Amino acid sequence: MFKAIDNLIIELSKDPFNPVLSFNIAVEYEKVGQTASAVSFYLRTAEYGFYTHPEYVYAALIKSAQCFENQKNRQSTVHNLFLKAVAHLPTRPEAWFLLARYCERAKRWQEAYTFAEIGLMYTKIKSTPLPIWVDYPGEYALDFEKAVTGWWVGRKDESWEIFQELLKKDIGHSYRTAIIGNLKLYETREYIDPLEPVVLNFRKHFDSDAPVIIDIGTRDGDDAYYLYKNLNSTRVIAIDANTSAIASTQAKYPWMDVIYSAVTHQDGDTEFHIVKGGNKEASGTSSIFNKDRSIDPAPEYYADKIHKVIVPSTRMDTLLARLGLNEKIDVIKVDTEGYSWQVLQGFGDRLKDVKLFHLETEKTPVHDTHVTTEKIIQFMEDNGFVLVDTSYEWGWNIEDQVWVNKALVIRHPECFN
Amino acid sequence: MNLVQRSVQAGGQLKPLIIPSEVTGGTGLMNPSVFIDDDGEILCILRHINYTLYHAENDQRFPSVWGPLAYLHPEEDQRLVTDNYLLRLGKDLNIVNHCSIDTTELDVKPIWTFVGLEDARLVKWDGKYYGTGVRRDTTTNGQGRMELSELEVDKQAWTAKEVSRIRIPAPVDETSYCEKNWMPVLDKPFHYIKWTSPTELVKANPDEPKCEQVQVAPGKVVNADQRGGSQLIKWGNYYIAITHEVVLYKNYMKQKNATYRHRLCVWNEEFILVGISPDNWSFLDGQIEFCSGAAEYDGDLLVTFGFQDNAAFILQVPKAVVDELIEEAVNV
Repeated sequence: MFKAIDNLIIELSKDPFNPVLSFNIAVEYEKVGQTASAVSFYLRTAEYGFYTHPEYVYAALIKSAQCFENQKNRQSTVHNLFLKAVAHLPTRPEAWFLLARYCERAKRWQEAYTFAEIGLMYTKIKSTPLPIWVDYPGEYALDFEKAVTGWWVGRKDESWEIFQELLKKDIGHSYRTAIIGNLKLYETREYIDPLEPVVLNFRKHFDSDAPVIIDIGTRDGDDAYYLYKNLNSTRVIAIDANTSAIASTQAKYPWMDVIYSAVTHQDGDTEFHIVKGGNKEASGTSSIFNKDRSIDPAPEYYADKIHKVIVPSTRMDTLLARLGLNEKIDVIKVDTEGYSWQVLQGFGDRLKDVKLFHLETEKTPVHDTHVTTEKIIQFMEDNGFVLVDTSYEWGWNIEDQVWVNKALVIRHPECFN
Repeated sequence: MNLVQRSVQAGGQLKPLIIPSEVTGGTGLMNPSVFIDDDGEILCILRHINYTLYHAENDQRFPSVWGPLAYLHPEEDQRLVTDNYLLRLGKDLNIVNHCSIDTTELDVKPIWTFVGLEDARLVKWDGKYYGTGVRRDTTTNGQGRMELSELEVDKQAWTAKEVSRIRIPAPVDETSYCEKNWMPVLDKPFHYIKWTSPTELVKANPDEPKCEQVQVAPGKVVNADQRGGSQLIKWGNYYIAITHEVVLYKNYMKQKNATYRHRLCVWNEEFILVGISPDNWSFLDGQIEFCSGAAEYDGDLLVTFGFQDNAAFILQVPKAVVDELIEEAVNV
């Protein structure tokens, strides 16, 4: 049942003060959620590894803090253990970051800002790798803490500039989302919605109104609603294969035409991997493909979060016929987590009836049948579309593209001569 | 050499006792008590607590805010709360079933910060299951008394419910502050070894709060004060139990610390102490360990112990090792 613990404890009985063995036992207990047991063995690691295993001691103190954090309501102890880690190896950045984040979450802004600033002093020092992941994603996380807390200690401009710089870097998905959310708070700075290029280009090349909007992979209906509101639509079709996405979209926008289905290159049904237990962004990465080669978040993030189900699937030409949409379609947004190619193939001859596409494509394949950005660009160009905007809301690997159907353009056709 | 190493080298095995963290919230699992039922099944009471023991061993370089030994309860809840689970183990000593022991019908509002029945030893007397341990939540000063908590066990549905509760008075000095760790004698209903040396045997009454001193017998003289302890079980012509001794001390900041060590105690059939391990020993070289269960199973000895109040284990001690321990104890 707990084979790893069984074996390690036996080993420990022969070598009871071995800090590495204690550490490994603690890790196994933590994996099964038994954080009190884990703390006992992490603390033994710290005490018995002091002279011989500094990185293990450092990691053990951090992990002890995180175990208590997980138990909740042990604030003094968590804070104290992070401080102990800092004091043990003060020129490493990890514990400074965790301390900054802990204080930030407790709204102790000046402490958090100070710890982040100190931690940033040590990010360039080459350190021995720690024996375990301690939830420190890198220097950018310290910058993030500095920016978040900077806002609260009177350094709004500095905070804004750090966020802007971070958005240009390769940073984690959740950090990017948080920054975008935070930037919305800066009332004196103009926030640009990632879908604004869709609105601008539709108005520029077609009309101020887009009667029919289709959102494939809608997640929560918010993007469809943004387009509806800004393009004066009259019919919105929101499609998703995740039942919780369907439920939340229907709850928020009961007037939308919400369809439960995957969209692929064939009719029938298909496997679908629902991401559970995470935040809205994580849930939005639910996909036909599994996450074994996911880049951001890494596959480890998805451990125990994936629920595989069978869902109905449809080609778009089939669905459009079923919906009675036999004329031109104004805007279609495709956000299907690595499945854009197959979605496009399912349009068949109806591809030529779409005025504007917003596509999410990926530069690096994350599964064997994944068709990436380069080939999709070629396909769209071969079918008479022109790429008019690219952006990178989710980092370097994911390209958001706006495509205009040259044959259907009625405003500024000279742009495409 | 610690007892786990000695036992495993001789062919024994050790298993952690872990129930899902969804029910424990990750806090301590400790001081289990093993018992072999009439049908041969291995049962255990496993103590779950709402706190985590923080213990800095060795040079104590990383003590808690409150010192090297501290009970870390939720900061907004000062209570140290115990609840108990009944386990059924397979022959491989892995947990097959677990259930919370339902005490709701007999619970009264606690008026002291130590809440619940602590270190309950599992026994079966006159055909009834009992958990017998100390409760300290019925007076405003935390006075501790052993209790007999009768359990109704449904082995089909795997449920356990407390159906009666007797608070056992101290047999001689009713004013004593804390009576705990009495060692129940498995084959002598309602009898406990209250004190090891000289051995004080007492008998509780399962129907009313009465307790009588049966005998006080000098036996082997023990230098270190021995406290319970596992149940007393029959082993050949002897009774045996594992006891503990505590060294309490303070660091230079006057903060408390402790070390627990163990010995095997041996009594003859008249409950005269005839042997005790010449040297104390540990289970896993932890400074705080506690044994509250022992049972004979297929000729070997099963013992259950807690490690740092945070983890629980069951150890199979091969018969040969037990016999060696007895010989060491008796022949010194």
